[in-house]
Amino acid sequence: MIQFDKFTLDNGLRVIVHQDTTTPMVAVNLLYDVGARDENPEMTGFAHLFEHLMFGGSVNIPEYDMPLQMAGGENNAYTTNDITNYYVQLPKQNIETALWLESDRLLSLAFSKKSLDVQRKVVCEEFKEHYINKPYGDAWKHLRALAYKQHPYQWMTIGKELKHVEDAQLEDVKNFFFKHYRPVNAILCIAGNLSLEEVKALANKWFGTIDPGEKYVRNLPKEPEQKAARTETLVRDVPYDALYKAWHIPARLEKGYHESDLITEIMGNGYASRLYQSLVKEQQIFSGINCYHTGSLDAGLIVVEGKVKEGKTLEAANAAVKEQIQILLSNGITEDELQKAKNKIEAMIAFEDMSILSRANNLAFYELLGDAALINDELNQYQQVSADSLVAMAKHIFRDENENTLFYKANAPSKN
Amino acid sequence: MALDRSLAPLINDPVSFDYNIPPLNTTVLSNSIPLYWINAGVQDVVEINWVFNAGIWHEQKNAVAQATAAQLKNGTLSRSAQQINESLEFYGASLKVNAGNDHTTLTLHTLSKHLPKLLPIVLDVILNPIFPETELEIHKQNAIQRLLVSLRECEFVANQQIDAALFGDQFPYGRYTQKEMIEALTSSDLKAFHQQHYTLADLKIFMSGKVSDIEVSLLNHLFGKATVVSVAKESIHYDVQPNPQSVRRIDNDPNGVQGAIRIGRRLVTRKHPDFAGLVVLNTVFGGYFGSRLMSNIREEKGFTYGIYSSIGAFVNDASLTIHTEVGRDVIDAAVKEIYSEMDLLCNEKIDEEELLLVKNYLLGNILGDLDGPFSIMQRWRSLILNGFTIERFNENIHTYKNITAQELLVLAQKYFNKKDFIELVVV
Repeated sequence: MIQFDKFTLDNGLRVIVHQDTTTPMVAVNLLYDVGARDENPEMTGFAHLFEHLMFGGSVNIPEYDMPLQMAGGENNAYTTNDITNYYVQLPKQNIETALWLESDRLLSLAFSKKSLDVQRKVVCEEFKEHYINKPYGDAWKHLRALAYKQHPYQWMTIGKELKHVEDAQLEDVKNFFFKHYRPVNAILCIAGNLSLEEVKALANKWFGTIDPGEKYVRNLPKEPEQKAARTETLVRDVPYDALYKAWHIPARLEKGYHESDLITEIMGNGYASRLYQSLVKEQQIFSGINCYHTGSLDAGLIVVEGKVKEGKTLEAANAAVKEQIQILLSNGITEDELQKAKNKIEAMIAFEDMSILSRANNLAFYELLGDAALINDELNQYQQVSADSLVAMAKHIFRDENENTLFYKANAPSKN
Repeated sequence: MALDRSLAPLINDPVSFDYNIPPLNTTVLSNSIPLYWINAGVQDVVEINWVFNAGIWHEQKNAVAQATAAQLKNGTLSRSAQQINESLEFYGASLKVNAGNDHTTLTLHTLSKHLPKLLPIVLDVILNPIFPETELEIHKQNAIQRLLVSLRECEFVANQQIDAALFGDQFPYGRYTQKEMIEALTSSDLKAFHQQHYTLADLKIFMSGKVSDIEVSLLNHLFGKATVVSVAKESIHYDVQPNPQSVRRIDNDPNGVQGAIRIGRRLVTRKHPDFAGLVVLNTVFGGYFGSRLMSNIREEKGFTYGIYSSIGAFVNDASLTIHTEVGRDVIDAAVKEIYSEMDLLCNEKIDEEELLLVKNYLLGNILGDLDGPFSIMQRWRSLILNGFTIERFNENIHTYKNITAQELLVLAQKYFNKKDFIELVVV
């Protein structure tokens, strides 16, 4: 049970307070309700590039990182398809340094041309390092575009192509900031040895006078139901064939989300999972295989991803995955398997909750979902899932017409 | 009164704080195995480490230590690999076995309530593994496939080759795994390595989390009853044979759009009086986001997504390596900047404000680390495995707080000379 309080400032900034009297540190987490899904299709990668620019100085403070490090703090940020999240951890004595920095960049960025020029290059190098200069690095670009035809989940947070990042202009940066980085679109969570009253006073002092801005109303194209199986074949200079399969699943708050999560636990998480045990160990068709889901707020994907073993064909590998799915649909799951999946979730939640930063992050995220209190009901949501409801959901997900398959072929047999 | 946002709030300098590691409990099990434990934290979770002197340093045949670690859970006299994995995963627990340069460590993470069910499995895995041929064969094939994929990445190749260049590819810290080495592994190699090096006589156990005497006696009940037999070990000596070629370029991928740069040197170990000061100097140079290297090569020039320098300190030797991946067309420019940052540290004293910032940053991080049972134990584990006491921790804190710009200048002139570094670029 994670205790917390919450209140909203006059300008619409939602604030969560989590008191932990045992730690000398505080965590300050600021979540902005904007991600890659909110981008213009002609300017993809912008939300993430923007995250970099948030460290390029704000209206009254030339540099973000230096004062924070001077205060003994550590910080970072990440962008997903759904959200952009900034976090700081530092000794409690210096909390005002963090609030000073965070509130000033919410007030306004410096919009430095130099910062934009440099960070465009930095993000291009990040793009190259992770998605171009890496075997199989472009698989997700193609898988997303295969599975999503309307919804902006069709591109990755890094962007569709380098050119979109290279073309970003200062005017775009300003527009994006004043559209999305406003108090009404943000959630602040402060965790540490501070009382509700202390946090109220601090939040009002630093954030209270910032212009609320306009609430961003999200109106994204909904992905139409997929009517027929899709496949794509890529030929690349890689040592081994790889198989990627994806099926649409319910959105984060829809019924069936928890079932979908438990399905991935049973199928593909761990050495005792079904796909690993049967396809890596017994049939030896894959050298490694995973099953997971994208965990997104709008309707996401369950993915099976595996490298095909030397000497086996992609077709055989695909057939073997389909057979395992058929076995799941025909024979269902045992009570032990269901219990195992729930036990894994229970342990995962407990380990996550150890870190004050992770608690602050999760509280802000659940508040975005609708109510931070949902955090304390999450395990219960998983406990409610029965073997029958899980298999019913599996039957709905693993329909032939809901399937996307990416055959990632090695262009030459690997040299041994 | 309106808030003046141009004025920074007053900072309480972390250099002025006190730093104390929460105390460690030591219990000697009935058969004399030492158990170190800490009760801390609020979640009902526990981490246990079993540490053996069974790292790469101790292997006689290449790749055996890591293969033994990877295969340890794949079958015992009474349990199959699947039964072992199934019974661990059923409780949501994870048991990882990792062979490092010096030690091999088993790490169990679980909710505390499941320990009684899990510990007998861990004991069985440690005492009675059989390394079945069939499991080893699958492991070898898949490990080779993973290796051949990794070898396509300039970063991976650069990491292998820089250590080989610094220490020599026959030295344990410089050896790297090749396909032929994996192919040559046999089940009897693994059995022999296990028998020789996974010996209870030099096992140390570390437990942290929400634990009490109950968990201690549970461990004693199981691990304290096992028979401890001392195995005579020959003392091992290796000669470091660095590659005499100090600048190397490797073409790994004709279509590569980035180059992986590694510039490194051997360094003194933790036992040397200069070591704590070198930690501070390395932080200034490339050890955090605000470092000289990051400020210049990422934040000023945009050559890379990231650049760091880091110290790899092992029991018998150590190294300091700068690592980054940069655009192919700026490789030479980046290399030049790295050396000019080194020279700057040798020629000019670090500004007092920058030095204070680095000290505050370093100490603020330590304060964060001393919060949470697993990271507290990690501090203790590192002290114990290096043969230190709490005194060493206090001395290090003293150095981090008090080292002067003049002392750092002297250290830079001693350790940051270009001629002592080996430079490697892999495209």
